[in-house]
Amino acid sequence: MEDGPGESGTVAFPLEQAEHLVARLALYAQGKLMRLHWKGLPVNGTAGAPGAAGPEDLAAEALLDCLEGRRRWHPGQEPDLLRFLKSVVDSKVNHLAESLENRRTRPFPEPGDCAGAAPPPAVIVADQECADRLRAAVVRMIEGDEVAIQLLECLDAGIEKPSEIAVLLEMDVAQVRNAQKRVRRRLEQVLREQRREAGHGRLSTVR
Amino acid sequence: MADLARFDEDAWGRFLAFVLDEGDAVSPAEVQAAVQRLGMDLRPAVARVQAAMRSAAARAALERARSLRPSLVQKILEHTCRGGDSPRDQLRAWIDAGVAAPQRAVFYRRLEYASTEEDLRSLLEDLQRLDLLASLSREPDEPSE
Repeated sequence: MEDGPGESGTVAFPLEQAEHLVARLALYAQGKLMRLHWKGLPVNGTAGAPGAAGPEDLAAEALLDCLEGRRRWHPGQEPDLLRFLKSVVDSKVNHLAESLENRRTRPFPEPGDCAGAAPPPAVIVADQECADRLRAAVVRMIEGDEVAIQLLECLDAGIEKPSEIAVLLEMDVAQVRNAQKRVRRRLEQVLREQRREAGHGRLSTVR
Repeated sequence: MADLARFDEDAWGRFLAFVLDEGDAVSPAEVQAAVQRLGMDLRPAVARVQAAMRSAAARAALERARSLRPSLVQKILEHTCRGGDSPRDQLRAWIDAGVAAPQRAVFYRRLEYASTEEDLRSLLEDLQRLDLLASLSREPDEPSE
C-alpha cells in the first residue's frame, strides 16, 4: 500500500480507503478467530455477551490504535501499511487467545476478580460442542474433495509454499491458488451456516 | 472420516492458515465479495474508523494552528522593532490580507477607534483567533498561508 506515516508514526490514509482497510482486516481477523475456535476457544461461540468482539471490531480497534497513536508505524521496519495493520490484529488476537485460555484453565477466581472468573461448566461444554460442530462441518466439507485432501496432505508434510505444492501435485501454481480459493469459499459457507445455526447476529463472536 | 482422523492438530492448523490466507494481492471487488459471502456488516466499524480519522485530522489542524500563532505574533513584533510600518499599519495590512470581506469592515472600524496600546493588542488577539478558526476549517492537506 502506498500510504505514508503521519506525524509521530501514526498511520495516515485517505478517508475513502477506510472501508476497504476495515474489510481486509476483518477478513484477516475472521481467519484468525476461526483458528482459535478450532482449538476449542469460545469464539464464534454460543452466546454474544455484552462487550463481545467480532472480527469487525478487531479490525476497527486495530485501526483506531494506529490512528490515535497507541500503536506506532515504523516504515523502516515494515514498509507495507497493510502488513503492519495485520500485525496489530495478530497482537490483538493473541492477547484475546491468552485471556480466553486463562479464563478456561483458571480453577478459581482470584480475589477481587469477577470478570476474569472461569465460566460455568455449562458454558464450557457449550463452547466445546460449538467447536466440535465446526470440526465436523469442516471434515464433512473436505470428505470427497480430492484436491482439498491433497492440500491437507502437503501441509501435513510441511510443504506450505504454493510453488512446492504445485510441483508435488503436478499442477501449476495458478491451479493451487484456485483450489485454495475454492476451499476458502466453501469454508466461508460453513462459517455462515454455523452462525445461522447458532442464531447469532454476527458471524464470529468472542466473549 | 476415518481417513481424515489421521491428521493431527498441527496439520489442521496449517490447512486453515493456508486456506484462509487471502494473500496480499486481492482486489477490492474480491474483498467485497468475501464480506458479502460471510454476511459481515462493516458499517459500524467503518463509521468508528472514519470518526477517528476526522478527529485525528482536527487534532492535527489544531496543532498546526497553535504552532502558527507564536510565529504571527513574532512577525508583528519583529516588524515593529525594525522600525518599519507602525503596528497600526501592520494590522491594517493583516486585515486586508487575512480577513474575509464580511468581517473586514468590523475590524477596520475597531482599528479606527483603537486609541491605546491595549486596544491594538486586543484587536491583534482577535485577529489571531480568527486565523486559528480559519486554519481549523481548512482541509488537513491544504497548505496554510
